[in-house]
Amino acid sequence: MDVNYLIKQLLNGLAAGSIYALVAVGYNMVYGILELINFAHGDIYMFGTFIALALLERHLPAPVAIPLACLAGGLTGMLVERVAYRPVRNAPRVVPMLSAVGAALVLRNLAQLIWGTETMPFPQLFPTRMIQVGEVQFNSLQVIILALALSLTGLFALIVRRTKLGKATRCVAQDIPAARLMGIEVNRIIQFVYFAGGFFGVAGGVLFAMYYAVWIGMGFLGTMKAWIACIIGGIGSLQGAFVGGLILGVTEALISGFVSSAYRDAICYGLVMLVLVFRPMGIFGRQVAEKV
Amino acid sequence: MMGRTTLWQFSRRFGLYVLGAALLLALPKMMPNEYVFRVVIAVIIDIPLALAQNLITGFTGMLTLGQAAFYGIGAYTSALLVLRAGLPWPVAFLAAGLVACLFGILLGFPCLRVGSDYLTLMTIGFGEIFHIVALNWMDLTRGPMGIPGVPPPQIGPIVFDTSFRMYYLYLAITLVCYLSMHRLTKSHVGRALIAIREDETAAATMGINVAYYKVLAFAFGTLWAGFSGSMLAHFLAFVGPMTFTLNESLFHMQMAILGGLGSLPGSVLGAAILVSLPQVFQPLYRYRMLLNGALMVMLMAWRPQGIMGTSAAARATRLDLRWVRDLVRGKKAKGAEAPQCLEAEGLPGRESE
Amino acid sequence: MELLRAEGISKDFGGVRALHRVDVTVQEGQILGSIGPNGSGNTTFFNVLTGIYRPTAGKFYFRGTDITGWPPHKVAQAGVARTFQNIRLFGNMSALENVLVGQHTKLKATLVGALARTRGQREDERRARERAEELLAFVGLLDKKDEFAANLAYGEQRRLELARALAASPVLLLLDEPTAGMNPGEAAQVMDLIYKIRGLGVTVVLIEHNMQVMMGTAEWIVALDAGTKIAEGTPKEIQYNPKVIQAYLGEEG
Repeated sequence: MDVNYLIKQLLNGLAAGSIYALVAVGYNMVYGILELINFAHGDIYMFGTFIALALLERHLPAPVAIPLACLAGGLTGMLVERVAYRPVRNAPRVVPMLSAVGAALVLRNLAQLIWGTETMPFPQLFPTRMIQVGEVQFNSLQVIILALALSLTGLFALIVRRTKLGKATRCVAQDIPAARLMGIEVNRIIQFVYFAGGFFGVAGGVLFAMYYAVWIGMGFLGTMKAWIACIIGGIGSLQGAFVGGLILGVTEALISGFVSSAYRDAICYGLVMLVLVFRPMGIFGRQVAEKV
Repeated sequence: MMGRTTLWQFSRRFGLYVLGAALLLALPKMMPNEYVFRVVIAVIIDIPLALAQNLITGFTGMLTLGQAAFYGIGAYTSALLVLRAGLPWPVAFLAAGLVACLFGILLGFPCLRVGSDYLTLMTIGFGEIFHIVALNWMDLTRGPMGIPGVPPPQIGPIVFDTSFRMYYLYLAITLVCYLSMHRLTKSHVGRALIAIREDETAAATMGINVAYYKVLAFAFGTLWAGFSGSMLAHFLAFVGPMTFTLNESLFHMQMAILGGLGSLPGSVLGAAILVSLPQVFQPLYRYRMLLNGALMVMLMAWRPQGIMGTSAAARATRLDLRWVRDLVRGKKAKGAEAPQCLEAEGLPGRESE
Repeated sequence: MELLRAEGISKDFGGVRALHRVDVTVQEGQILGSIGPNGSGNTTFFNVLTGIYRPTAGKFYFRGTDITGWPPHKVAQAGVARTFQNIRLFGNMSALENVLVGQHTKLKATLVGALARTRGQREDERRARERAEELLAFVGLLDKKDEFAANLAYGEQRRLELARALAASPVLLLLDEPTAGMNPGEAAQVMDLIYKIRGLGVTVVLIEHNMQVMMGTAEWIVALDAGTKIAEGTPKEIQYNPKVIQAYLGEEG
């Protein structure tokens, strides 16, 4: 077996995995809090990424455009929460889920109507160089992506763990009525969570776009990847989402490189289904027993 | 509900059935043109899909978003058996349902082990697997090119190559579907499924073998999705992978929701509306998915039980549209509010929820 | 005649030991009471018996057969029915339908029969409905038979759960706090029902925190505390048992 090829695949996997990790972390915040599959997550950051592209095309400098786009993503997330989720927060599970699906469809088709169905390239914001370590070649973009993913996740984890806001968020994650009784403004916290999810999601989306491209389907793709990453890593666990994303990226790259690239996604789905059957709580997740 | 119906009630209901039957039988004569006729047939093909979705999601409470895969399995099976194996259509049709059902059972088992959200993900995953396989298995499915030239249904010497004939054939099939669903849901099986939806643990302690019934729901639902697939293949004379995507599964879901989860007539209505509406409002076709999505959001917020579901959504068989009257009169629909324990209004310093 | 024998039943949840080597014997036709402060393991005992959880150790013998680890539906089919501490009715079904579901194990129905609507099937359904109405009348809910269970008053819901549990014609009936939240009048009605039920030949095991109900209904009482059985005896004996008093009232005694 060609070791270089293996390493190259691994690096590709890590790069893709970092992106997935970032998207998954953004996603995990939402899911962890409301135990809801946020169907619309990917489409929110897809929207934000398109906005980023539009801003860059209007020659806004990147350090301005990107944060603005992230902001837009965060605001979109808040809007979706307000319109599609909050009205049905207490309804049986099926209802918010379907509302999410509806919101995702609206975002996706709005984007389609505005920007069309073509796949568009995203400007490279970092100069990329090929780096040679021994026999192995990789490009600096992959390194940057990994570094950025790590640091943003770390920043986010810091916010959640060390700040008062973060503590309040974790309370809401545990028990909404109790949190409310403690004086925590639940709605504001939830809005913050959706904002953060959208904000970091767009960051991930921009990285994704630099590495691959931009198209309206990238959102849903991201939702599925985030979902899978969270399952592998364990729902409700930030480090799980991160690790899960990396594992997914590497697994995909290895399958693509050594087994089949056409059936790559099918095989991945099959593996995830197996994971769900044999270890549904993921790596870092805990099994919660239902009180009868 | 069996009861002591009076002669008047009986003859009224009987009269309604006769009228309905007459209408259905005479419908082809009322078709203004071939295009409308084909839309009607499309509705008929989609009705079992909506009913199947309703059975699995509405009655049993399992949110499956992978029905398109079984629709596709049915379509490909039927088309391939007729075109490549030279089998007669009735055999291909039956095989389509049975093969889809088999895969449904196979999917059903692992789904038993996972919680409700993960179940949805598994069904989506299965749907995607099917889609990818259909796109890439060139030898079997011809990938993105699809399988053209699928012949119309044929029973013995009778070829159903006109809309007229196909209408009656598919209508008969769909009626069998509806009847079987009706009987199933009205029986102890239906009660068991609803009990599982309401409270799985309590249902088990009543002696209901939850695993058996969940797989049964999957099996029955995917069986009919497969039959629908066969109908589609021989209607369009073509089978291609792009028809059987997650969007299609979502569409099935929407039909069931719009009509009302837990209501069989509702599913028929939902199918009729969602299939024919885009055809009616042609200029809005571009915005179709957008409107679909918006409709879902609004429906969930405003009336999650759909058109015909009752607010404690049991099996509605009567047309209960009193809510329309209430709406017109300006009364808020019952059961749409979230339960509140305490209402505290006007307290200082706190954001009112 | 021994109906149920629990030998050395233990149940651990992660680090928490909910039950520890509990031995209980229930005689046929008895009304046996199980008491203990909250968290003492009473409901867990029911849950382990009915197959909702697997015991970590120990065995259950029902009518001589080892039913340890049987799944809930099999335990129900063997003749064990129960109610729940926090009412678990099928809210979106009518009272009548709830009781019909309770009869699930009794129906001779098959899938084919349901689809074909054979005469046998229709007869079965008709008889089942009649029986359901009888049961509703027995607990005093016949006039509410078409109401959605979720819309019934609290006391009515408890009685409906009782009717639903009886629908299976159980040999052993497990009642988990059947009078919780009731005023003395309603509680007395339930006590009455329990006697009538036993009169029909059903053995009853009862978890109750209401001491009046417990002492007035049970013939034999088992006391649990923190997962272990601390005492066993007639109501009189239990009332004056120092260990029981200590468990409920603390160290002073």
